[in-house]
Amino acid sequence: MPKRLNKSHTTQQELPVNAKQWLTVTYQPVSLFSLKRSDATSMAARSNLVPTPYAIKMALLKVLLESQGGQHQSDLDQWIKSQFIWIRDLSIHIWPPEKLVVNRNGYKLRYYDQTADKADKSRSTLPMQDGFVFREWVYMQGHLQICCGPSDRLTQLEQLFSLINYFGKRGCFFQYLPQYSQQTLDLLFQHNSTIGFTVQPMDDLGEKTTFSRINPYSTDKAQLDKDRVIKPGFLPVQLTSSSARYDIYQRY
Amino acid sequence: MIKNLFVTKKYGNYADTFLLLGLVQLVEYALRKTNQKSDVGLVDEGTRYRISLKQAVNLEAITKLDYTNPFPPVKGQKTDTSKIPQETDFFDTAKESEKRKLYKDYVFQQRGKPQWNEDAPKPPHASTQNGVILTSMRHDRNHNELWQLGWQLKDHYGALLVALFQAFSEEINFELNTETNRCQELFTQATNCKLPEVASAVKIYLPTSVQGVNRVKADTNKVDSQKADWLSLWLIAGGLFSFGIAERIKIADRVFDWRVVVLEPQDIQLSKYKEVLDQLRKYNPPSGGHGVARFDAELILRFCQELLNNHASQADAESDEFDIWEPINHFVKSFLGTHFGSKGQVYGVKEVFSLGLPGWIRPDNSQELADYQSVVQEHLSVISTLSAEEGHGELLAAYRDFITGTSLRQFFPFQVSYADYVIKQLADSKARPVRLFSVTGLNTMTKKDSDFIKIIQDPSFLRIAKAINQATVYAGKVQTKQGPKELGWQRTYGLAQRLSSQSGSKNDFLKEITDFLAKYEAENLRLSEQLQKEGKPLKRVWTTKEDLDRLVELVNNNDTVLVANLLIAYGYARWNKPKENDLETDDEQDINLDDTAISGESSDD
Repeated sequence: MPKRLNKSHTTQQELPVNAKQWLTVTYQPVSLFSLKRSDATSMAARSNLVPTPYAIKMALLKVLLESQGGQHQSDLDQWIKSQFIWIRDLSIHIWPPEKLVVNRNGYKLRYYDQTADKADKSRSTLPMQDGFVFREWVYMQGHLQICCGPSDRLTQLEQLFSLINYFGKRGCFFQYLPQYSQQTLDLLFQHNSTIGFTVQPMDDLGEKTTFSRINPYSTDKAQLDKDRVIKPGFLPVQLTSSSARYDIYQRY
Repeated sequence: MIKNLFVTKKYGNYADTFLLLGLVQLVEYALRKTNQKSDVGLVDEGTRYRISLKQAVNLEAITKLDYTNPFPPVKGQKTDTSKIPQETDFFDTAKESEKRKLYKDYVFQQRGKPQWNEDAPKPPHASTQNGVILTSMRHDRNHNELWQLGWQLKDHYGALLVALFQAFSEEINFELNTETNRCQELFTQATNCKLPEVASAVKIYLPTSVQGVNRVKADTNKVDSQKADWLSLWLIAGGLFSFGIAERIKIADRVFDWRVVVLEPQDIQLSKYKEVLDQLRKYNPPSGGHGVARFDAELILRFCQELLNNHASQADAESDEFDIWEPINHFVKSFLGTHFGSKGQVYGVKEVFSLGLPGWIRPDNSQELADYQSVVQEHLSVISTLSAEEGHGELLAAYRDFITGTSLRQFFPFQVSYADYVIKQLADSKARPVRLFSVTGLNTMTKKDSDFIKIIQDPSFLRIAKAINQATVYAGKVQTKQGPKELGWQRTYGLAQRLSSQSGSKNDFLKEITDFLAKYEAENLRLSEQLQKEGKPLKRVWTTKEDLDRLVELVNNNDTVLVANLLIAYGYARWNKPKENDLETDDEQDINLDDTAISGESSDD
């Protein structure tokens, strides 16, 4: 069984703050969650079951820029470079909620028509075409926990997490629960991979990537497997029932 | 000492399973050709599949193997075959389709019971539709290109097979490498040649990699076609052609979509997997002419039928190869599939889905095997009278949710709607005869669940259920063997809906059922008074106050919803023996059966 590691209760003394390297934060999902798998295109997208480290780091960057970017207008490039490095180097572990229900949907969507656009450059409007796309929405029951570290900036990190209100697709809201935040010496949960797991590819930022490469407003190109790496991730959840319209997963 | 091969799941859709099947097909071929024990097992270990071999492989012999097609190139009416060598055997989809059509027509003419004689057309190739979908979706060119790149390696085919054995047997740390990359390396070491690197990712093989926006960084909305490594695609193509189940599904008038599924192994021998699948695709394919939900429901039912038949033949042979007394979903896990929606000339990926299997089918001995077989047959016979075109879409969708979910409780939402439909059909003298689920069948379905058992074996419960039956199904004017017969009591309408909607609260439900029983009792008294004058007995069940008391107890001790649902299920079931025609399934074209599902008279308990 994957279990929460017991924190050492041998000493009742509080450890010095800077000795703690890991932060665990807890969120309550308040709307359906969806995050397209990174290997899927916009037309047919299976959803990840939980936010990936890449999505979480991007959310951290977003709130960092929104909350503090204004104070660094003169030295934005320098400042974001240094901030980006410690966020990039975080190791992020995700503990899924107790129950996940994946709902499958198809809907009609209008999207950019590349062929028509190339054929007639003189158009004043963007040509659109309609078609159906496939999406999955995940209902989560229980809390989602994120444990990250090792870092000596846990206070700042906790502050950033408290500002995040959605992960994944815009509008997939999560409520931060301050009373459950913990700073610990070690990683709080460990998986025992001898039991069955569900595979979910986990994107993450590459070890050597830079802010400008992942910044959509810069012209630097990002490369797969260098700036955005897709590692196999294993979630301790089991598919308990499935039908044409839904899948139900239970946490072990 | 290779005894196991491991295939890590990396796509999260049916491509994982097809890749495994493409690989296992090559493994089995290599072992068979080199006279090694070729019986292999397929096991799902959660994050990966394992191919277990009977004994360690002798790779030396495999190195010397000559090229053979893992899958044939396909040829439709418009396929460009100029690049393909002349001597190649094509899979001609037009010819194969014709064969399939001939055979289906023949089976239809024989009313589903073909006589095997010399004039009878031969059964079609099991993979016919897998070839047809490639030409129909215009993927024949890409498919043939994959084949051709493989064919160009023919001088080193043995080395490729050995590299596959080696790469997939190492327990690779996926963070550092993938099995296909490792295979590339091993192949290059052995031959100094390179495997082809990339090929176009055809949406039928990798349904979530269809053309669309997929950027490493969300900076443009440029649409790229997808590329993937050739080896994975080549294995997937082999798996799909040999083991996929594809079918055209009628969606509306002259609109056809495609649905492709693969059976995901859980713990099964390859030989059994193949045999059951081929039986299903050749002789017992689900029909695509009545909408998506009916196709799914039939697929599951017919697959269960074939698996149980296979079990039965094993039970007769008393083979102790492995245990057959396990739930259905012990051997195979589910069907994974993709639905391709027609957009005029092209097809788009409309849905990526999975269909579970009825885990409640758990035979423990030969008798139970036969019982489950007749339950599956009965369900098929009911479902085959429903069709999306005739407005039964919702009923079929509810049934599909039950049969593709793993839980028996999903049966009841369907049964409530079906009960209403049954009564409507019975009341309409011009309607086609309607088929009912039998009490025997319901007993078989529920016998493994202790929650159900204590309710359905209660004599008072059964008497009340029978009262419901005689107020709804066996009431008014019924068809009997001697022709229509007026029973002398009126049919009650809407009872199933009322009981179901009140079942959320114990008191409301009891009020509803008491109300019904009071009316039923009053009617019984009126009828028996009339019949006494004529000196005839009343052939209706009598319920007593004790029955009602006992029902209150049942509701107190169990879940009210469950008791209500079971009452509806049993109340609207068939309590007598079926006639022969009842268990036939209607074929593609509608057969006008002039049979009736309700005949004869029920007698008192």
